Amino acid sequence: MGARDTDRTILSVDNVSVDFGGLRALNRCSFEVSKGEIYSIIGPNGAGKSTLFNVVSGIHRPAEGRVLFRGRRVDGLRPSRISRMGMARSFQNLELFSGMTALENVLAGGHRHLGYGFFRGLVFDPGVRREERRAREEARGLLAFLGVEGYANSPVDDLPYGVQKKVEIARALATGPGVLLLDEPAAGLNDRETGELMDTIHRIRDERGVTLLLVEHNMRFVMGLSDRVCVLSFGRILAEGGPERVRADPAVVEAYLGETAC
Amino acid sequence: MFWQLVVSGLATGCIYALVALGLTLIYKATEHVNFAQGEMAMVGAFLGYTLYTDLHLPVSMAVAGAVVLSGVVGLVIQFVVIRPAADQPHFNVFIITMGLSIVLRSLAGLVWSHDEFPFPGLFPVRPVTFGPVVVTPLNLGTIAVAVGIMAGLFAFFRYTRHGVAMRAVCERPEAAQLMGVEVRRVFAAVWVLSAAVSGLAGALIAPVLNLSTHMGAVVIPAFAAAILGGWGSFPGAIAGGMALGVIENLAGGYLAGQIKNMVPFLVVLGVLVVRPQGFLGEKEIRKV
Repeated sequence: MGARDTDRTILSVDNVSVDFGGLRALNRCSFEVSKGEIYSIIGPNGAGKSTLFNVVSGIHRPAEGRVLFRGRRVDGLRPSRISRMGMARSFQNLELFSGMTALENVLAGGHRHLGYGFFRGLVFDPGVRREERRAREEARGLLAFLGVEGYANSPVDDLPYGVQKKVEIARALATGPGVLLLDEPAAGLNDRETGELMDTIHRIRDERGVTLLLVEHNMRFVMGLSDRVCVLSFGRILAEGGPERVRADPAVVEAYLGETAC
Repeated sequence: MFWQLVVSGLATGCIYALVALGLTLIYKATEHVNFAQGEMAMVGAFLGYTLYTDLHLPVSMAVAGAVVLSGVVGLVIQFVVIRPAADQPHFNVFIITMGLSIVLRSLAGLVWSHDEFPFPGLFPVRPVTFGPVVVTPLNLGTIAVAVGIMAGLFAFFRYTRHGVAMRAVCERPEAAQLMGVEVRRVFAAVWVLSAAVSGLAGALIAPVLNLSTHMGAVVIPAFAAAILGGWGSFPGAIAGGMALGVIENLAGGYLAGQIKNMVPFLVVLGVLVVRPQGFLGEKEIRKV
């Protein structure tokens, strides 16, 4: 399967393998994500889901294969470059900037939109102040979009887990991404919070036009939310397609045997 | 007598605080310990001296110029000797900065000689009387300038997104990179800031100590100050610097003059025995 760069494809993973020492974490994985899609990667623990995320966001370099984002090769680029091209992500174990407030975390996310340089920041002239005020309003708006604006000035370490997750998503959105990667966003959330999250993810797609790539464990969440699903097991892609088709796939049933899928 | 010692101690303490702040900036961002911090202050002071004597700039302009040029020196150092070793263990970088301190001192000796030079004060030294206390405007001015710069830095880290991004890099460099922050550029900026702050410290203390290539020794009390306040803490570096300046002066005034030089070492020993995390530092709890 080669990478067909049609206008609709925003992200394509082409024949990607990753090795850790002698261990092959990913084996010739290929898939494509279309613009405006909610695309989920599922699979048992250790299937290589997070590794795949780390390759796409530039933390790991693939041993072979290519990653194309908006038609340009991004494998081997620095994570900051890829982020500047419009790809954002959240983490499985929250990676918020502790010691900073929720608002400041989101501000850090908006770093690439800075219109002034470091030395002008030191001078702090009126133009800088105006821009800082606008940035703060935008950051507040993002927190409001996720329903957590009430926590703007609280240190993130003090916030409940569910709120921290939302702050992390707000921070990722602040980079102004075309594609947002969410690593196990529903992990650790209760049913009500999970429902809210599905809602939020739909709004991120519909209102902000962001394409979503998810890694998830929670089957019901994935099946209810995704346009397409890709099943990963031991570093290989077992099946790909709409939720219904994937659920019925014999290989998938076998991989999940013993687990009550849905 | 007591208050007089306190005020002049605070003035010296502000210098220690500035150098300690420079150390802390680099440590927080890169986890590197910069042994050449004192020499960076010394070179900054010499640059100011050259601006004053050779270019005949007014003292205030010479000091401002020293701050800017120190920043440039910091940038050059970062590019030439620190960046190539960025992936090395921290200990290697520490040794590099030790070498750097020797190189800077020798270079300064080649350029300006190892003699002592009188450095013009930014403020007059003729004492003024406030009730029972007699202080020099030089002391008060030093305190004012240092406190002003520290407040400015604080505002920069709080109210500008470059400052916020720098803090983000200190917290989690990897996550910051994924936000599009160029970590390498932040490291360079940190060296510029750190060197500029130290250069200011050098230009402020030079009138008191007389300018010479031995001025780099100021790094010793600065280390002591940072450890006293809590290694790695910005408020700790400032509070530690001021406290150390006052303790040193009181000890020198009431006990014996020579004891002054011992104070930083005694303070470090005392802190490490009694409260290793310093006054404002966080206790390191390691999860296993």
